[in-house]
Amino acid sequence: MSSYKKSKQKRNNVSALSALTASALAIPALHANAATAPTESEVGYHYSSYEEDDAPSSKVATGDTNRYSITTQQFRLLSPIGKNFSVSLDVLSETMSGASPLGTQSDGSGNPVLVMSGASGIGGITEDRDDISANITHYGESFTTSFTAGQSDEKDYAASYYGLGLEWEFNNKNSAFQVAVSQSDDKVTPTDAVLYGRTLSATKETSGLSLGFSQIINKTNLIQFGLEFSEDTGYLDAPYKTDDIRPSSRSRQSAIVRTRTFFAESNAALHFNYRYYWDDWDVTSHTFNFAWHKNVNDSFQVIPSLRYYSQTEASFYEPYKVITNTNPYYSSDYRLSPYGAISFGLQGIHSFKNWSYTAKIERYEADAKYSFNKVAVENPGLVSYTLLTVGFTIKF
Amino acid sequence: MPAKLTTHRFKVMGGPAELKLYINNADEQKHFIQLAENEAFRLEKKYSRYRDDSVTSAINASANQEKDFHVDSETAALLNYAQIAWQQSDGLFDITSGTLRKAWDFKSNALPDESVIETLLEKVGWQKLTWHSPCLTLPAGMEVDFGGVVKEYAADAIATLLRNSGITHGLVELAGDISIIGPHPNGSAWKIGIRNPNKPEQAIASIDAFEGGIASSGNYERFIVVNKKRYCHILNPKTGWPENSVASVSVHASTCLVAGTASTTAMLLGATKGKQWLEEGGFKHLLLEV
Repeated sequence: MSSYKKSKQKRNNVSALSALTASALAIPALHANAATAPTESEVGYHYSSYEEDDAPSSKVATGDTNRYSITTQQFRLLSPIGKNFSVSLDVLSETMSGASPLGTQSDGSGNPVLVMSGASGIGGITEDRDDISANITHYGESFTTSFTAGQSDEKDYAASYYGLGLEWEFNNKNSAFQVAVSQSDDKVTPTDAVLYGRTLSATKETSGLSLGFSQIINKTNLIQFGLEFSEDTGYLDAPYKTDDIRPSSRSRQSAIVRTRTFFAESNAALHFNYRYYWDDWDVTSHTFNFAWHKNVNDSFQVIPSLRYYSQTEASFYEPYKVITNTNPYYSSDYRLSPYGAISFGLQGIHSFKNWSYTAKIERYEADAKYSFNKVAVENPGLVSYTLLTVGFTIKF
Repeated sequence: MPAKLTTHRFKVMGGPAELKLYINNADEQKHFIQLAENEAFRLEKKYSRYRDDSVTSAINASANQEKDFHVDSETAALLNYAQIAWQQSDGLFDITSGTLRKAWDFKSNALPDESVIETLLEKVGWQKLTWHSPCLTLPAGMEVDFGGVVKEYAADAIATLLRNSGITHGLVELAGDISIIGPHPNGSAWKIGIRNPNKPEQAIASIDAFEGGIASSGNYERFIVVNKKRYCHILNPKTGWPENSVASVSVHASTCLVAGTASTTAMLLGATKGKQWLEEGGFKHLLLEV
């Protein structure tokens, strides 16, 4: 008579397992260093291909219908230094090409249509971006401190950024507070500025603060709450879009809830994230993200995921510019328009010895009809894309 | 260079101990084995009831002098744990029950005299002592025995020490009780064999474990057979007698200490109630009936 059972937990009642576990983990010699310093070095490489769908010709007044393609290569190196430190280096190089919306106009019957750039040559876009960042992390008894600094360079855009993060674990490492600050100083120098009457050079600063609290509820449940604040000041316009004039500051906030639930019977974990975002441009959004991390066997994991997004428009957003517009600010950027988006992903991760391989496909579709709210006029520039990523990590 | 699996065996607490660790080089191997052995011998010395200089002996000596005993913080945490275990097991897991062994001679083939058990039971029961951490007051004639927790606790303490010192993949086994440091480097689980109670040298099943601890109790460890009935060494602190419906029970829990408490409790509850208690308590288990 044998019965190896994964038991049902008693609901609304402290189980013997959790009562004993809590007491056992209160014994000093059983205190884990939860955020432990890595003991192995790691090298990783990822390649991804991001492909936006062509703009439908019915929605394009002039220019190319071929929208952005971006290929990205990422290289990562992580190494422990002594017992309590780790350092990592991330290098990213991406190439984008394609056309992007310069603006919108009315098609004559009141529907907005896109004025696109050319896909290449003058007004068209081929751009390289390189990003390099370094991180150093110290793992203490109950505090983990990390510092990151990086630099991103494009022909017409440069950003340097840094961040400082602190995590405090307490309550036998079952609870943790996180606080992080970040700062980014950006400089934009649009190409062909004189030719098209664009801004010659402008700067932007972004300061961020994030606060988090995470709690291990029991062996199978974890919850995290977060608040994020960020303040953009300086040149916030889209330099290549016609007539795009935006306020010179933007205060953004997000409230976040994340849960992680392990289902022993399925040998899988459900990751759920919800984010409510609001800013002083009147954009509000909801993001729901579900990912099912299924362990197929000891070395293979598949992760189907689903994301739903819905946002409201910015106070100065218009589908196209109208002469009577008295607002000093104006933008027809689809990113400030009201819309919703749905995306599906499927990822596989295979581990073999000290190697781990991953492949992921994601399909994203934005549409006014996916919005929570009824949208009177859909922005013609909403994007849909397919993202493919492959990569590997080696530990040694 | 990937870490290599090394196995190191030694003897501690009257039984075999085994470390399975993924180690990078010989220097590390020496260092970590030394660390683990030192911790094992420290706990053996501290809690052995066979040593006059142990904390256990000092506590038990205090009973006969009828005075309070101030314990150190590690012992206090173990006593706190013992109290929770006593509560959660409804009084079946009791570190004051060790004295009952005086009635049972597992080397003979005779059952104990009921009157001897009755006398000893007067000196058994966690509810009879006073525990206000860090102060223990033990009534005269009573004794505590950490034998039911210290081996499991030591496995966890060694595993935690090694993990906090940088070992990420490995396990610690003290006479069948296992505490896992972390899975194999490729992320796969340890396959833990469960003894066949009828042929203890053979495995009857295996448990895949990535983390936590596994402990087993069985009627095959120490027992006597009288009139074809088996009486094992795990004694009910309320009756002084063993429960005979469980052949063996293995529990996989958050720590080896918790797993050991659960397996002992299930053994004493008997097959039906034991299974129910394990299931309601949220324990992964394998219970084999007699």
